[in-house]
Amino acid sequence: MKRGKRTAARRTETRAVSWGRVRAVVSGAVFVVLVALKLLLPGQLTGVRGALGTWLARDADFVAAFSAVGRAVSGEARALEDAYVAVFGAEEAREVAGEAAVELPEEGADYPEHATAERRPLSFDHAAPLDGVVTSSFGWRTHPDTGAEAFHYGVDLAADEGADVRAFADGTVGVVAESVELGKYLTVHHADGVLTLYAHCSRITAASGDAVRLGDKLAEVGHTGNATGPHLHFELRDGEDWLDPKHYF
Amino acid sequence: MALTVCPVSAALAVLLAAALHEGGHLAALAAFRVPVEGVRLGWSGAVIRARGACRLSYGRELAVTLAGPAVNLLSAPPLAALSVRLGWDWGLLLAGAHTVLGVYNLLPIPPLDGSRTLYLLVACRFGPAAGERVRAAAGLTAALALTALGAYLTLRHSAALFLLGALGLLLPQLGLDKRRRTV
Repeated sequence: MKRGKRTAARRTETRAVSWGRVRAVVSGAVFVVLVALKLLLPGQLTGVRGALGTWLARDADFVAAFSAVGRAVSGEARALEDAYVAVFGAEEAREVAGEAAVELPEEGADYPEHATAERRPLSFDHAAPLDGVVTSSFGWRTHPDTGAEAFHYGVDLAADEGADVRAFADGTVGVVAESVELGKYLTVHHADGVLTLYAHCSRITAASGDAVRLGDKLAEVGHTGNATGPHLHFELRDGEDWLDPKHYF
Repeated sequence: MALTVCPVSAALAVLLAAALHEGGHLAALAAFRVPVEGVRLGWSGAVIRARGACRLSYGRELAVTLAGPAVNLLSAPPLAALSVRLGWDWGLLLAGAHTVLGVYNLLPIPPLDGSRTLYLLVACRFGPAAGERVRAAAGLTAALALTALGAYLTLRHSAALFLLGALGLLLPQLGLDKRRRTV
């Protein structure tokens, strides 16, 4: 019995020592690799560190996400899409903020895929979300931060901080969230698959799932997110396509 | 510093959903007269210590295992419907938390309930050894798939938290044979 106990104890001890050695070897190898990368490829390591920092700074609005899942369970259509956007951010928003996904244009090139200058008729009444000066139009522009040529998928309307942002048309509030690029933003689903987005708000007064009418207050103008001054960034989508909002003001 | 917009309201919803989940397990154990020795918080959630559960039949242990997710998934639809009718925002949040927690716990990755369910279903038919093998294989496969999804989402949306979460489920699978049975 005693011998059996001694043997068992020794086996356990040996296993613990082996795992300890494995951990030490792995840790040492990781250390050596990192030092080698730092010495041999410092630029690439700095790039990786920058990317990691960007990833870790990403916001995810779990209030909006869980609420959207709850609405999906209650049977609301497209609520799961809102949950996805609340967690991962609006795909179009990243492109609008001038992400490198957009290729540099050749002179005279057409709009990117899914962006159109066409004035499509809307089947419902609509109005501009606020009275403001258009400081940046729909289309190609020099990005104010990066200086690179990028496609602007909406319009920027300058207004005083705190000015009311109103619903473009009757609809249902979709995502109400916050991101590094868009700041505080919300989307509204309208008839016929039309969607509007209102970004850089200082305060959002509507809640996800609210039914809103044309002209209802949704938010207040601000300069949250990637914004150089108080303004509303407004986008208008018809299904997959971005439309030029100026046609509808 | 990662910033997740998860104020107290969302945290409370998740905690309440988790508490009701564990309450489901405890209620099932009480129904089968299995004494509970304690509850401790693990990295994946609360772990109930009830050694008497080992003496339950496969069917009863299955009922105990599924009681937790069942509470979440059965609570969510009526709560969501009621919340929509009353315009109760926090109720929708709670319904969403119930749904996410219920679905998450049904993943076939140890030590989640889904993994235990899979083990019981296989062991009932083919024996405990087969159950363990299937559970380990399914757990590793599912964890790898989630990690791949997390990596894809991280690259596409810069959502690193989800890759880290997936890795948190994957890494323990590498030492799975050391795990003791728990409810």
